[in-house]
Amino acid sequence: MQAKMIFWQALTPVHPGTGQDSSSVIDLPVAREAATGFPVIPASSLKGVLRDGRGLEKNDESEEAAIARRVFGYAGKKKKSDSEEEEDISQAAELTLTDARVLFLPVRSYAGTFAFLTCPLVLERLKRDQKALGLPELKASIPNPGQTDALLAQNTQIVHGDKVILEDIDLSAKVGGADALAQELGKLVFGEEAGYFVERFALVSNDVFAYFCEMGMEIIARVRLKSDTKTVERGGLWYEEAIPAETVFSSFAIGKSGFDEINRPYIQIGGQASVGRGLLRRLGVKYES
Amino acid sequence: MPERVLEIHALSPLLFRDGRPFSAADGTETAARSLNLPLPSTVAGFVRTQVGLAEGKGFSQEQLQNLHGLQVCGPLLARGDEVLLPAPRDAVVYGGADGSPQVMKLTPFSPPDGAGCDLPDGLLPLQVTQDVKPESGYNFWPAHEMERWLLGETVIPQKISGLPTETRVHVGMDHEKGKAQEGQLFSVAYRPLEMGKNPQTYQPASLRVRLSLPNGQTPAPIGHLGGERRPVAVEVKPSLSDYWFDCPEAIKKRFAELGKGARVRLVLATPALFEQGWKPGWVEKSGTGELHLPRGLARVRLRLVSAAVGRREPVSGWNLRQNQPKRVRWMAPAGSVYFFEVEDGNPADLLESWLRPVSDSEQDRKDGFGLALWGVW
Repeated sequence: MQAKMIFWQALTPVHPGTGQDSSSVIDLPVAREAATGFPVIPASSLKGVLRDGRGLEKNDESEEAAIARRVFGYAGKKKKSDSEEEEDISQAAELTLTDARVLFLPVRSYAGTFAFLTCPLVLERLKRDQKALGLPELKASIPNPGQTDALLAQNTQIVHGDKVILEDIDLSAKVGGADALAQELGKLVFGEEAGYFVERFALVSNDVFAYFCEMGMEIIARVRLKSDTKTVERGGLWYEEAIPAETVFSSFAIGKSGFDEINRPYIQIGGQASVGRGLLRRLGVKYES
Repeated sequence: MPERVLEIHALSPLLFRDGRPFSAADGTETAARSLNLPLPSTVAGFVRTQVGLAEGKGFSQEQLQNLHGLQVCGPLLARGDEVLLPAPRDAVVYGGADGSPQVMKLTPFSPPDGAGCDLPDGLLPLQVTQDVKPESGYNFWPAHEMERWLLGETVIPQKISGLPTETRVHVGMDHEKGKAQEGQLFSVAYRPLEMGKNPQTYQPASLRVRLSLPNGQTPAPIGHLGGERRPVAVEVKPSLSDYWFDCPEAIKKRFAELGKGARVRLVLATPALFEQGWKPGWVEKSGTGELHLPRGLARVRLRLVSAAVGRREPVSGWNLRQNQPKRVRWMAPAGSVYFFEVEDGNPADLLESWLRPVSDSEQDRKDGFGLALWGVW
């Protein structure tokens, strides 16, 4: 068994819905982790998208279906070709995926257009999981920013005066306070595009990050119009929550083989597909089988 | 033989099914629920699988017998570096007049002459001193608070309700039409191995298991635990005492002072399987030197005075070897308390079974059912 780390970046807002009613003013909230409140893309959604319905028809005897059943699993029975007897062709999945957790959250910034936020809790969890799975851990130390601080890279675009102004929160800019960390994360996640990331990187406190995970989601109001009068139908106004574009997620794939199944340049995940939600691009290196 | 502590660390929220039916038929629930903690048999099966996978000899009949004999003690819930134990059932936490939590201690009570009760012969009821409604959410106690409670002190525990529940709704998509399939809408309650509600209260949690590895084997580091083959990572901890809750010195000292006639108490740290349901079968046999008794109980004769046992819990499962369901058995839940009087023998010998299983059957003990915590009353 081995593990691979996967990074996904949202190209359009992502709506991994919860499938149940929300008690707040948002009609369609996004899925969140129970212990932190951070948005998350469930592993079952990832698996379903990567499988793309292959190998589910029991009479499909193609090579592609056989590979999909081996990698993603299958439960069912099939008649033998030489008799009326049924045989069980169930098998457990060879590939295991974990939930895609938020790694960098884009937040509108007064300077530099937007900032990529992360916090010590997110990085420490990533480091813990890397260690548990036997992957190389982050080498740079993770500083602990104060409640009103933003630790930045040396070469940064998001400072205005001596402050980082995010939405309605002003933070004291510490230029160079997290330069080693920003460089390492940029290389790990974005590779050649690291510059675009490093210029916007900001390490903030856990509470500031949690605040933006709560308040920094995109809230999209939508209406349904009557076709004849072009006025809003009764009950036709609703609010959707979505994780904003440019967000970076991290997840892991665990198994003996089948890693080539995750080599897709992009996927569409979550609800509201026909209005463009949920395009994710794959970051990082390609994997052999 | 060397003993090790394994720490099980989850990479996704885990699913510990409670055995209720879960199907698409009309009228039945379409929701799978999770137990608070996995059953000892679930964790024992996982550990044996990891050891077998690491050995790489396959799973032949002989190999299965060897693995089946591995002694697994656990699971205990750990929050950060702190071991949490199920709340004892002889402690009732209620809100006092000023709103702060108070604890009522339940102790055996001898009814005055002329009064009686319908408990089995020889058993005393427990005395309730306050007419109060118990507070909810006090499901786990930190190990140091449990230690004080076992020594007979009054403890106001922290409010720890355990692992949070994360409910997810799943759909099966019809690939051709791109919409949800009929009857394939269901919800599942998972347990992330994390605690808290926001980053301020967030704390990582893990499961800890103690096991004997007679040939020095090491388990495979990555595996699947519980329902839906959810991924977990396993780490072997080098130091046994640092990661397990060894018997505290204060309890050892206290037990060394006891003799015949001493009053001792047993608290279960994991659910136990007894032949008579709630009642340990070894009570009548303790102190007789009979073979196959739980460790430490062969030399100390105990008399059961009273018991505080929670509602019974079922355990069944699937027998992979015979390809059939296991029969349902009923467990005494974790946290159950048994009050004993020592009739003969040295009470300090009981501590040999500290956090070791005390179920009646040998295989149930190897699976880790009924870890024992000893105290006085």
